[in-house]
Amino acid sequence: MRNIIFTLLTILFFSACEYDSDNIHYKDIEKPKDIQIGVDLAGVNPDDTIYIYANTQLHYSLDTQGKEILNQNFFLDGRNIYLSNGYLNINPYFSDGENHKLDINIELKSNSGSMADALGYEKYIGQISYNLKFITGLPLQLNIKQEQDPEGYLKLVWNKPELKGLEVEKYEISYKNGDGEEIKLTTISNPNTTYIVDKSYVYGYRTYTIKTVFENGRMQTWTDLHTAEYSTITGDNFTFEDTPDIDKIKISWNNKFPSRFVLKWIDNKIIPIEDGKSSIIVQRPYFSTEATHFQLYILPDNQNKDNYEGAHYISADYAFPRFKNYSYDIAYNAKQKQLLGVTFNKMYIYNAKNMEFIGEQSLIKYNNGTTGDKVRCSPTNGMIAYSSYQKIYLVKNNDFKSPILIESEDNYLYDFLLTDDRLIIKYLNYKEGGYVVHIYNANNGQFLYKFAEQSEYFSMTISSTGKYFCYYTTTKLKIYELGEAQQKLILEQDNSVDKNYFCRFDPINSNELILSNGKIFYKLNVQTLTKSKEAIGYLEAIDPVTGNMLYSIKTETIARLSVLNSQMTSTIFEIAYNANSSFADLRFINGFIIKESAYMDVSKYLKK
Amino acid sequence: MKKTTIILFCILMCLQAKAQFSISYSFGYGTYKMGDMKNILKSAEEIINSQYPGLDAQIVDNFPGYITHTLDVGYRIQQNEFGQKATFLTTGGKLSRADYSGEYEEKITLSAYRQGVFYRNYFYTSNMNNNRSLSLFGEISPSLIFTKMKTEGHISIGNETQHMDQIHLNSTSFTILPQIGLKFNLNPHIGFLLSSGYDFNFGSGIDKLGGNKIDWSGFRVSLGASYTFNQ
Repeated sequence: MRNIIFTLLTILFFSACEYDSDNIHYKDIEKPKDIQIGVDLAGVNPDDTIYIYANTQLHYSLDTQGKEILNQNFFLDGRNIYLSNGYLNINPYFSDGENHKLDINIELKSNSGSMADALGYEKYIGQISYNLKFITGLPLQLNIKQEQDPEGYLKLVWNKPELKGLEVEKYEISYKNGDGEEIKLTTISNPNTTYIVDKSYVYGYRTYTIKTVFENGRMQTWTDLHTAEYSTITGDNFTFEDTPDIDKIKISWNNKFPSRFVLKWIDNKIIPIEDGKSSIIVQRPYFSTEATHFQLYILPDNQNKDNYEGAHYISADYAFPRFKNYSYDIAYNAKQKQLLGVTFNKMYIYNAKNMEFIGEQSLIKYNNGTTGDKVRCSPTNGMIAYSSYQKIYLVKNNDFKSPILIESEDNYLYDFLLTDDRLIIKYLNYKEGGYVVHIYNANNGQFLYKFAEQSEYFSMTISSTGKYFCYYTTTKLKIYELGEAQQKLILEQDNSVDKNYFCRFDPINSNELILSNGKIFYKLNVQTLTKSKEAIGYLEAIDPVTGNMLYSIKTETIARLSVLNSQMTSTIFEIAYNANSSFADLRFINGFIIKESAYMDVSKYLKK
Repeated sequence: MKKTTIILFCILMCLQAKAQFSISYSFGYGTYKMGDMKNILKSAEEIINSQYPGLDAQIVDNFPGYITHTLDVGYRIQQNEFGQKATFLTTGGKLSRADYSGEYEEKITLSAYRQGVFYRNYFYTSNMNNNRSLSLFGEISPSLIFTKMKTEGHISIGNETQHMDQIHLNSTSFTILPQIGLKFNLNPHIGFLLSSGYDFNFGSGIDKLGGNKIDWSGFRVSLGASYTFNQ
């Protein structure tokens, strides 16, 4: 029995000898030392107050001294807020002006390499608090004003933002060019410098962007816009002045800001303008009813004028002065020293000294769309006659309301002439077999007599006294002396050789008939039938005031308009003219060359 | 309970036989193959270090060779001896990490009772003076191994300790141990034995260990003393 007990005890003893080991893997590691965790929230000391005026991004950074961040939490009045890309986004949740607490809790790994570090039980714990104060309702923008500096350059001035707890770090100024590309102008890092002078701005649309960046990103960057205010230059802002040289004109303009100019003139001729000047004397365009286009480029005063393309430019037109209204026909009223222009229902009146519009008269009758209305004025007594369809109205003493009506049945009105006491009307009368000239008393409209002429179309003219009447065709030229009851032929000659196409009585010497065949012109004394010496040229018009004769000489490449004095002794004026331009319908009245609605005052250029 | 009954029965039979029986105790050392268990321990090391980077837990014991205790009860007829053999085997694996901040330990302890029979042949005997003799013998011992496995561990950080869940597992397998040895009889009752051999452990994987096997195969060497009854 003792042996059995012994055996059992032995087995139990063996059981107590099961494997055991004191081996351990021990690492001799130093305990971590205390560290100072560096927290930077928008550069604010924890004791200071952060003022929130608008949506604000507070830059947050942490100096962990190489320790890994285990956890960090942000609480605003106990509510969790979150870090986004290194910023705390704070919106003005409150507007009570009270302090609100921002707590930051931070946990860092000890990085000691210990077991507790590996298992996350060993860490540095930090807590820091800030005061936030929310202030709303303030104008959060720059008050930008535009000025000009002493040199005249564009200057933008604004007020420095005065917000408690906020400092401006810099102003970033840029603008967009014409292509929409943003051009950075400058950055002002001194917050007290609250202006910028942009010498590159000279003209035109430009919107500036001023970004106000606050220190440490304490507030969202402000973006303020300002569109440059400038004086628009249009065609009306150009001044065109005559110069002593009739072929040249002076163009002037005015730009608000210092700048350089380049003018693109006739035939795209590039003319750099002298620095500091805003005018130029250029070749005057040929007299024309059409406007001449040109461009003025405006460059910054430091830009090379050769690089004018791409700069702001203004397109404008140079046009010769025009009558206020278009007229079908014009006539010179010597008594009133006025120019009359007739249209289908109006008579426009201009001052013949300067062609300025004086007024208008409504005509008593207007035709039904006929555009062939004509107007005539008597040489001295101010009588006016105008036609309307088949009717002629005689106006005395500017009484347009009660004109004398002249009409003739079976006669088709072709043309009419007016002297101080005679109204001569050319009719076409098929019953009488051709053209008929009717003579009326201009004072009362009484028919006096008539005489028939051949069926061939003819032109006619009358001396200023009404004594001599001339009609001419391509084959014949006749001069009559008009009596009280009948006419008297005093000259008849063949015109097929000379082919005078233009015959007018001299307005000064009514005994002289001026004839022109397009190559030469001369005067014929109808009393003595003596001829003056011939002048070479194409007679265009005769000034009813002075008797000076406007004529042209044209070659293939160049043409000139000239004025011969009434004595035909000297050419008193010349100007270049467009050889390709139509010469038709040039008029010459009181020193004004007139074509359709355009005119050019050459009176001051006429040599005495 | 069943195996304990068998062991007690055998010892009782030997005591009843008296003069034919001898009983011996040997103290030895055994190595253990434990390939799968080493892999399990290595995996555990990798898992814990990946779960807690920087922990740097390491294997400090990887199923090393360890002390064995053997009790033989035999009946000898001339140069043949039959009997029962009971051996206690134990080893373990351990993961460890410690520093000033705490301690981590996870341990697998394996204990086994090898219970079987043996046949020993004294193929050479040299008689000396004073009834002393020296014999060389060969032995073969088939047995069953009853294994108990348990795991335990803890983590201590500062004053706080967290114990891990323990796992207990039992398994049974077959083994056969061929040995050669030397026996010196000091007198007709008392003798001393020295033997060495290789224990072959056969068995399949254990389901609860994911099909891994507890392999006790390894070298054995032992030194013991015997007492012979009824000479």
